[in-house]
Amino acid sequence: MAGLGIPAVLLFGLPKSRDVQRKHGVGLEEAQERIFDRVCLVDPRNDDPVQFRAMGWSRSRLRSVISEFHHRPVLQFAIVTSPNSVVSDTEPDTATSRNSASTRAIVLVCLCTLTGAAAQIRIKYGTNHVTQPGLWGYIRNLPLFVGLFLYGVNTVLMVMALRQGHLSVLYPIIALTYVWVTILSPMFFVDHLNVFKGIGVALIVGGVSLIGIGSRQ
Amino acid sequence: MTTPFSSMLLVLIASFIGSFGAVCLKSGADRLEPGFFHMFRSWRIFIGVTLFLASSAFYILGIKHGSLTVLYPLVSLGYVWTLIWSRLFFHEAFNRYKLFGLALILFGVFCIGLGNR
Repeated sequence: MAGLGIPAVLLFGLPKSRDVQRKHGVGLEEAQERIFDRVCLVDPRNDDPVQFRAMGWSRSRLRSVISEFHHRPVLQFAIVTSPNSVVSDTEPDTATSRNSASTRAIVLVCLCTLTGAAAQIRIKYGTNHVTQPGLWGYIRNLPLFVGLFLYGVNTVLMVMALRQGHLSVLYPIIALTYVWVTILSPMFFVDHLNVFKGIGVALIVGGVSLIGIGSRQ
Repeated sequence: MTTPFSSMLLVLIASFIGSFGAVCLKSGADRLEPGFFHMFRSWRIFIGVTLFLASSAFYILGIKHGSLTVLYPLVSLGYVWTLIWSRLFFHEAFNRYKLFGLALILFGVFCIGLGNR
């Protein structure tokens, strides 16, 4: 660990430690899980009072927690952390696998925008073509049901994507739905493309591409 | 066409609720065990979907009256909220690409709203 050349910075002392303990309300084992994304090292420091040091990655920094056990199972934390966030990205294996995972997630969200657009168009089509009056007309309306079903598929795809990627990258990509709806709706409704819509579509595609490129940097 | 304040408020509420729906979906998705069917049993995802449904209800009510030129950009504010929540709750970093890309998207949505008049 020392080989990484990490200047130790004491983040907080006892008052803050108590604060963390109060907020998390958990013992050392659980605290490690909650504070760290990945734990690298846990070692007992001494027996009386019982002290443990745990070291791991948290919010892309290497941090170390020293906890002391008194009468109750949990006590103090001293968190030592690396000064910059570059460290965790030096691991090439996880970096490449994370990249491909995020690409997969982006492809999934793009698919999800297609089903979302199809759902919107089906629902709009369904509500425009209600054959019978009243609630029964809506219940027997096939396009409406297809639309709702597609929304379900849309949500499932979204969850699958969110498992593998960042929310801040994936969520704005949903704006592609506007693009599909704008392009496709002249085929189904009395609707025309115009200059504003064209510019809007181009801007959204540009914005989504930028976010996609940014997620690979 | 003037846009009533109530419509703007409804759409704004919709974007706000929707962004929390996304947060619930993400926190549910992060906790899923491997396997496809687990997502149907996660209460976080259930809450996320419920929030999305609530958000669409507000959205439909809001978009009934008023001009899309005003309302579409308000809806797309949801992307801004989500960016803030993802930093706050999931510690995802902002970067230049995200911010600039989002600005382009917001402007694009505004243009489509203009085109839909």
